[in-house]
Amino acid sequence: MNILEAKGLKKIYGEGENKVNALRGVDLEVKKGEFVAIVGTSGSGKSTLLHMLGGLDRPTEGEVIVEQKDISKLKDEELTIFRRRKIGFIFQAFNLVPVLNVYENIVLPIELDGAKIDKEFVEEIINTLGLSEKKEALPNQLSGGQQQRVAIARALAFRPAIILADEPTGNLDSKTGQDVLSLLKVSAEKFSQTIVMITHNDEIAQLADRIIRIEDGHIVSKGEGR
Amino acid sequence: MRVNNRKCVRRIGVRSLLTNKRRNIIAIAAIALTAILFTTLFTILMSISSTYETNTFRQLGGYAHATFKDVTDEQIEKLTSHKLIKEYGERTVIGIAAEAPFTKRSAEISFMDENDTKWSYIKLKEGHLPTSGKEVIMDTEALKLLGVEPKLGEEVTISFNIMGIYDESAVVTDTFTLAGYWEFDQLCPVHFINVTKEYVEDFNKMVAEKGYSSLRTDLDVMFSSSVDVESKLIKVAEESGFTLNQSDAENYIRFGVNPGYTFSRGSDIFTPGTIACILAFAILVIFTGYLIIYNIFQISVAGDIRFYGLLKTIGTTSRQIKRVIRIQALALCIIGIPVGLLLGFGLGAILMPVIIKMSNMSGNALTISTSPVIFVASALFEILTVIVSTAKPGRLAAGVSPVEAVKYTEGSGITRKRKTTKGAKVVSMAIANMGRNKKKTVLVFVSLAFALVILNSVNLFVEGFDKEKWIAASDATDFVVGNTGYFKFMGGERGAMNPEVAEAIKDNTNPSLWGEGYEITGYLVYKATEAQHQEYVDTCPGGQPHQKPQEDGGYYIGSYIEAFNPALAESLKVYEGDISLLNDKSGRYVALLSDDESFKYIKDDPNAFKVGDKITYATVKQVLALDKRTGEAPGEGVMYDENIEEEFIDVTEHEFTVCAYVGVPYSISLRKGTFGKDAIIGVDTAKEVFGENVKPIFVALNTDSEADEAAAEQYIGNLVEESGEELGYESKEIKRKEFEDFKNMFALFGGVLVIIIGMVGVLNFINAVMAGIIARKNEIAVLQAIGMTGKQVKEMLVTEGLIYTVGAGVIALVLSTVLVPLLNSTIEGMFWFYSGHFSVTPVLVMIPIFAIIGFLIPAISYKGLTKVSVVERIRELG
Repeated sequence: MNILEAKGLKKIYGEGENKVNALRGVDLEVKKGEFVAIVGTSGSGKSTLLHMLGGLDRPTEGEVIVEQKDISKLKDEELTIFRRRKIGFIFQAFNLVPVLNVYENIVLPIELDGAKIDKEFVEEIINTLGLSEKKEALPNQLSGGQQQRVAIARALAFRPAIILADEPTGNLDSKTGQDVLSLLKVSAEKFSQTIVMITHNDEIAQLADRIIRIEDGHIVSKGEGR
Repeated sequence: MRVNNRKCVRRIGVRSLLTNKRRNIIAIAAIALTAILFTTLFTILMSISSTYETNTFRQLGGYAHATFKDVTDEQIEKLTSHKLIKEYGERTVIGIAAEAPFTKRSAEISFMDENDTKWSYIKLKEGHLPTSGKEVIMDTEALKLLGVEPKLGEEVTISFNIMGIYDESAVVTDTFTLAGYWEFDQLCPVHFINVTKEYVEDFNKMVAEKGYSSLRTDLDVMFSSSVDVESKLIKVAEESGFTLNQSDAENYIRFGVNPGYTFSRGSDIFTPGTIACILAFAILVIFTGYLIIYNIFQISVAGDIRFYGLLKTIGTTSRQIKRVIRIQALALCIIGIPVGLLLGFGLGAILMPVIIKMSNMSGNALTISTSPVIFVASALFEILTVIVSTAKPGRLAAGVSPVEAVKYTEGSGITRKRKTTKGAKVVSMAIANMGRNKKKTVLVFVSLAFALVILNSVNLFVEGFDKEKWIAASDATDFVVGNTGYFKFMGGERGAMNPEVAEAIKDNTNPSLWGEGYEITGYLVYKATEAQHQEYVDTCPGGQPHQKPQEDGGYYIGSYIEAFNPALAESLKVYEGDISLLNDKSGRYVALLSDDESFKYIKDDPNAFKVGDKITYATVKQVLALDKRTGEAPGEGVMYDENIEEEFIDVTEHEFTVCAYVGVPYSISLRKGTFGKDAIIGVDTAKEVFGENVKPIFVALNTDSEADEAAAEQYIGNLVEESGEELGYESKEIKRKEFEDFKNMFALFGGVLVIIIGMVGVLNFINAVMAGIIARKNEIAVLQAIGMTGKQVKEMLVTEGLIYTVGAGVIALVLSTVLVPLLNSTIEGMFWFYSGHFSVTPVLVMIPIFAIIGFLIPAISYKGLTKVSVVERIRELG
């Protein structure tokens, strides 16, 4: 079953002279439980694609279907709620809320939704990611690797349908990057999550089940599922 | 998604609030400032209202809601047991002293219980309420009139008529012991002299023995509120088995509602004009508060835009983000509002005396209201202002698209190509930067320039008040000294000026002009033709009684005549005729009063008297009035309208010749007027014609030198203060002080206005600079990374700042130069004592100060920026 589908996705920024065709018609399917890496050079449109998939931005044309629901038709408010329930984001820049401590950051999407926190589950995630000692710490008291692990925990905490990761290791040295990614992969398998990850690093991409190559707004290779 | 997500939204709101200390301090200051303005406004309004109310009740002699008159103990018991009656007090009046020394203000000798004493504004300065024997309490003025020292235990002898009986045999004289006294209140209509209940009971027995009807006891009552006192009163009476309507019924009780509660209270101070002023001020406050608070939040939201974008990315809805902002605003209110309420109340209390002095409220008793309404209303208005002010920054934060948030740069859209061969110069970069958000740039220029223009205008206005014009217009002479009644508004019957005092003033000053003013007392009328009478009836406000014409077809219309000695008559403004005839012994001449405006019409008015015409004045001893509906004399409280016919029966006529039309300067006029023909006559003629009815009311004098004026001021000031006579005076010196007060009031209000508008201007400027820096944080970091030195960045920012402030100064200078002549002619039209002049000094003075602000604010903001390293700033680009 496809958990995520993109159909004829196009995105154009700007007008006239300054028009930029970021995506020129992308079709994509991701199955439940898959770990997909999207690779491409900078300017290839991979970040734009991820933004569309996660509902952070709206496509100029085409559809994004998450769990059989076309999210490009949702209103802003609905989209936000959809996003926090169904999609977990992991960014290159971690993007933790600086005024909240580790635990508060992790449960923030759940709390924003007003849902009940599954304490056991959250604890399990925290343990898996090796953050039990740091629950009370504020983001600026953590190393880069630790911050990214908090971001992963936050992405997992609400049991989203899909985790979208934008260069999750970009701000980390290669050793830490490898470690963090392994953790991500382990946790995703353990909690049966679907992951779509952007990277320009082939080595990192090799950890994925499937590698999609994007160039100049087109998908040039859909890769083979393992 | 209900209920329990609020906690975490609140947590984000409060926590992120704590990270932004500088913003918080400014925002709290702004909230407090606005709250101060609101509270001051409400304090003043409520205080004016309560001062007015208290004055009214003091003039009425008490503030009890209503009175049941002439009640027995049994009736009192029945009435007071009713549940609507919250409190009650009893009073029994045993007598009235209206003869000397209480001719001016009579004294009422009575027993009052504790409540009634309180409700009659009696606050003992020393001593206690009369409890036993012949103890008595009274006010200090009554003691003075009786020649008794205000010392407890003093013997006081008082003569008075038994209540309601005015023949000689009913005069009682008794000696009491002073048990307490209180400060005399000018507004109180009578002197209360309070004795013990025991004395009243004995007195009652004595009265009964003498065969007079017994004394009456009144029951004053208070309900829980002053709303609709009359119907409550009727309800109490009826449910207690009495009637207030049928005067012949056995269970009838007379009653009275305190008129202070029935008149539309305050309607004469809160006129539509004042209400408009109040509203205008309230709107100004809201607007100012809005601009300041809005600016502060706009800056802080712009600075934290990435933070809100991030919140959005992880699933915070727009509504939740708006709430984060609102929570921050309200949290700041918790500190700002109480501070503002306290300071505002203080400011209001300080300003009240000034305002009372400027208004023409009678009596200068001042009540500062502490009503909770002030604080509740101010706080509500403030919260409203804050919510309105933060709505737009809230929308900005909520509306940020998660992707855009990362890229947020003000005016990042490329608008046009720049053609330049000069390379990036600091100044041209600064100018280009200002062009990014044209709307904001214009707003900054306008609001800064506006503040300067207003400052210049206020200064022009206040400096243009011409003291000499002001004094010259209202004063005919340097000094006017007279009986206190003469100087009061609505004086009514006025006391005479003691001739000995007048003589003393003449001897002890060195007058270059000595004037004497007299009033002709009694009911004075002039004889009008039918046409003149008709005109009078038509123009006179309210209904007029129907007058039965005299045998010769004439009608009588009330008029005033003032008499001057020859020297004072010189001060009259002559429109037409010869005023020297006023002193001509060969005939009887009058000068009719007019003014600039009405004199224009006299020539063409066929009904008007012309110079040389004869005019007849008359003193009237008796007027018979007949109610045409009943055929009897009109009863008490009947309106004297067209249903009443009047007949003038005991009249002495005197014929005069009109010798002139004159205007009389206010300071030596009678200070009252009629719709008849008011006139001036010479004092000798007056005495010859009206004899006893000529009463001296004031003397007016001029001095030749400043030394003489100062000496006279000193002498007269002391005399008025210490002579014990009922004396008052006006002088040029007092007028000068009044003028200064008046000018200062305008300077004060104008100054507040300028400060408010100036603050808005400077805040807009700070906003523009800060927002510019925040938005370009990354850009500036990149510039530094590629080799722009910190000094150059600072130079660029400071240049921007200076262009704003100095530019605004220049705009204000140009605008003011154009505006000043325009303002001059407008204000001259509005205020007769204004002298136009050209001045742009305030703008010139402010330009360097603006330059300093223009330098400092970017410099300080830049310093804040440099605390974070270039690398970190670039990395934030994400």
